[in-house]
Amino acid sequence: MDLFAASPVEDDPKQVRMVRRAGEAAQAALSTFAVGEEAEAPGQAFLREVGRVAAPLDRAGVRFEPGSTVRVDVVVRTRKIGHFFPGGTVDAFDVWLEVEAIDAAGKHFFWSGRVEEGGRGPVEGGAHFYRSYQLDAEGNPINKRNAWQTRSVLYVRLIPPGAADTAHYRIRIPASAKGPITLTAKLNYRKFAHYYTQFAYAGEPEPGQQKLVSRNHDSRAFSFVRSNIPANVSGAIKGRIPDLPVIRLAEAKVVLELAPPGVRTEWRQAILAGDYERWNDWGIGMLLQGDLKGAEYAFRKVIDAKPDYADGPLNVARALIQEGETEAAKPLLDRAMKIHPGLARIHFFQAMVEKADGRYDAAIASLRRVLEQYPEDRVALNQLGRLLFLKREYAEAVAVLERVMSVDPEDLQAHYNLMLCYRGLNQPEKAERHARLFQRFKVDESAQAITARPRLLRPDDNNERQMIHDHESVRLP
Amino acid sequence: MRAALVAALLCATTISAAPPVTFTDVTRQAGIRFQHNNGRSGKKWLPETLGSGCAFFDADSDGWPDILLINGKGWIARPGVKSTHRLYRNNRDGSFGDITAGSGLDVEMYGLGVAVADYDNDGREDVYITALEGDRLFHNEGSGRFKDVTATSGIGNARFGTSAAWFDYDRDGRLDLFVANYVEWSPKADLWCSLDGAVKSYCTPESYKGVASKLYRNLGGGRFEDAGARAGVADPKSKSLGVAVLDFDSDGWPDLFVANDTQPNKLYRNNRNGTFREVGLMAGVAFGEDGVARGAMGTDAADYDGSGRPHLLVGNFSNQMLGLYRNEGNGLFVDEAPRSTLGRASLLSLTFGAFFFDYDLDGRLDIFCANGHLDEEIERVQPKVKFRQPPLLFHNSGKGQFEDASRAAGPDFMRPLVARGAAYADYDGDGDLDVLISTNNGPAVLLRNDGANRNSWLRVRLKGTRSNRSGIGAVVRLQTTAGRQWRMVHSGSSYCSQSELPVTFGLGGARIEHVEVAWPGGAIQRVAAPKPNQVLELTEPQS
Repeated sequence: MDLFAASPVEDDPKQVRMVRRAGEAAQAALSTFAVGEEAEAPGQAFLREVGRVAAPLDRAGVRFEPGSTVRVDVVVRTRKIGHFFPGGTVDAFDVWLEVEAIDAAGKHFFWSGRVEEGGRGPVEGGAHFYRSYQLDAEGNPINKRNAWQTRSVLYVRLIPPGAADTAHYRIRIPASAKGPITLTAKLNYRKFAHYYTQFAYAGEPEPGQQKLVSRNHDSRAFSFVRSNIPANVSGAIKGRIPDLPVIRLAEAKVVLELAPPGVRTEWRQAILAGDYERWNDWGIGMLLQGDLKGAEYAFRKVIDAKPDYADGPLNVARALIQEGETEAAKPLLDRAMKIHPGLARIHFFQAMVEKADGRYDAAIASLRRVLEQYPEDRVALNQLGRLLFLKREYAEAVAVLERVMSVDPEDLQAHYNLMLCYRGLNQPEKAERHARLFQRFKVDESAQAITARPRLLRPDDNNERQMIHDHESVRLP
Repeated sequence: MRAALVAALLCATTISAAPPVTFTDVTRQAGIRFQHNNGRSGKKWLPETLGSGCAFFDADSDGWPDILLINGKGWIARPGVKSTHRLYRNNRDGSFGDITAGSGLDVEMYGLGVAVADYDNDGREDVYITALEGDRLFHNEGSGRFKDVTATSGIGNARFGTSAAWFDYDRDGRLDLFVANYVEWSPKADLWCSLDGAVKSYCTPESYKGVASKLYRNLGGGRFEDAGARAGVADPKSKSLGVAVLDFDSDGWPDLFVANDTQPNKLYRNNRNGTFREVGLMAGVAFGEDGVARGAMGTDAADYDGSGRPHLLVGNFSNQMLGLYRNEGNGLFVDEAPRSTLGRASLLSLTFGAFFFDYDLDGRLDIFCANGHLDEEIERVQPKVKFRQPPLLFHNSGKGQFEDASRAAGPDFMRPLVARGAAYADYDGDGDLDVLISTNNGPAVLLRNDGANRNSWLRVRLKGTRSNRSGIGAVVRLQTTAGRQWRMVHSGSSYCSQSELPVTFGLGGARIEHVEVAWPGGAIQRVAAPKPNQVLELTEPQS
């Protein structure tokens, strides 16, 4: 992981500040028609200008002004794993980031992801979590390993293999802070979330709640008193709920001087060849959040740092393709192709540009080059099948999409396009079969309505759900 | 060879020498002073970003299109400040007079959409207005006056109504009403979203519960019954913003396409017995190419390629291109947008109002899109996506191909707007189609079409006798020396808006051989070789 970048936070009194924590202006969300426009209390807002960035933090020589607020980006990257991080029981882990800031006098002035109760309790709710936050039909969290009651997800935040996540922290530096300040970021892991550990050892429903549970939901309140623990509880620990250890998977630290009084922060970047992957990972994290403005900026720095690295121009092109700027993406794809002509992913994105141009035959040829190297790549096969469908070459499309089925019989996109292709081939029975399977495997779009209640009740969870979101500190003395 | 080259060059010269059709902003000179009020409270409440629509219709039955602009209102009433819809009467000289006061439409509602038709067959066009807190039906009393008859009509829809369409789904000669409803929303249930992590933005509707749309069956005598559930069109999960009436299977019975936001679109096939069957999934119009529902807004249906079948146009969210679903004639639709200019040019636009019309009167249906994002903050994270977006105009160059003609339509046309509704009509009686755009929390824009009537044209106005008086559902077919064209008289389409009911055909340089009207009542009426450049008024034969 990496404490990589910082940028200024500035006030815009005209904007409505995002509510990130419970009890912090949350009543505004519950206001009614009776609350007049005059009651509006605009707060602080964030206006980022790409370019006003200090990065990498350990090299840029940045000195923050005491009394200012900065947005610090923490990057978490996956390495040498062939699965999403975390993998496994993603509804039950505690995997989160803990970010702290301490000044030279030892004063804690920022802490996100603190473990409450002196390190033995739950992780504070405003932390940046890696998990699948599942909900039952009434919007209760799936926190009792009760996956059968899952009916919706509030969010899923897992890092793909070979990818990165970028988390944002709004750190207010006290006017009285003494430099240098130390920022630390830790990626923590606890085998089971605190709630589940309590539930597993001592969870007993409060009496009189029979109507609050069904096959679709569990709205019951539980008590976790020590007397609930069965005498024959397995394991060596008896008579108390164990404190599961918190494992530190990765850590980053940076020590920064503060600006002397009257000196403004200089937002500088240090472009060094050895840092190209750091810039790239920062950009990937933003790209996956849809922050195309930030991602494009980061990837252009990758090109500056290491001009012979094909992923630099390729990733700028990816951001541009997402923006619909396929013309602007073309020279960057050409440049990437010159650096590494055989790199399959360049041909994939080349195909996306050709498809957007309506040049279906060229796109098909590019995808076939990808498939020469990765014959079972579902993403490429699905795109190829779709293009053949759009060309009304239904039988050829079916042959390609059936290859997807042999890799994953639950592939949604393949079922959808197979349904259409068989419709085109006038084979209604097969079309019906894929329509049924598509509907079985596809997400019920309306299930997202379940998220409304928890979003209203828990602003910190609602904040965490946003694709791009900032974290604030817990209250500190 | 040389002669052919010269001929080709001459031909090219001729084409390039013809001045393009342009659109001129005549809002002020036409006397339109409307300013939409979305209530903007600073809280970014969901409905604020969705309104409102507009209509071209004949309020005073003088044969000239008048204008109705739908308004929202403040979230809290302010004494002395009234925020009403605006009704403008066509002065027949290119200008309009504000006749709102005393018209009966001078009411405060949190209005969103409008649909117009003569539902009681008395010869006057009536108005239905959708609204957040309750839709209203206004009966046209004549002389530009309207009476709120909601309470006696049996219509009661307070479910965030958006677009609506009048059509005679049971072909009993009385116009029924479909009302698209959006989501369950209240100030107390308003959610917090952020595009950039810093400030609140308008939410997309995933977390709000959908609500069933309504189908009101016209019982006659000014009474309606709620027939949506019985008819099979009251899907409680839908989050509907647009509706188009079309006969996609060419069986003579009107079907419905409903555009849904983050939910699958619906294609309701008319079972000819008062019920519908949903076939959108199997038809390929419910989802985007990856099988994921898109953010669909406005919609329209028409035959843009002379195939004889209506195709579908769907405006989508930004980063989702327009849907141009070609009706293959076997129940399957294939999206042609990705391979045409249409797809690329519309990718970044968030399209609300969208319709087919022949803006240059060359005999081929072109496409207009009114665009504008939901949120000012979008530019912070997506540099190429703008809050204010210019409209898009796609010229049909034949064989199903479109070219982006927006820039050629002139600087007034290219002005970025936060557009929502859009409608067309020939307001100045010169034969070509002008465009009215409504914007969110901004002024309405009237764009006059300049130059299209260099081509010949024919406009047809229908008067039903056995069928509904507005002629809605009638198919007008035109045979010319250049080929065949057809239009269905319809309400609905676009976003929250109503275009004029008369239909307009461009002739290019072709000669008319005959006009044929297939009335919903079954009568076929034919007029041989009418003169071009006229409004042909046809009354349905009594027998």
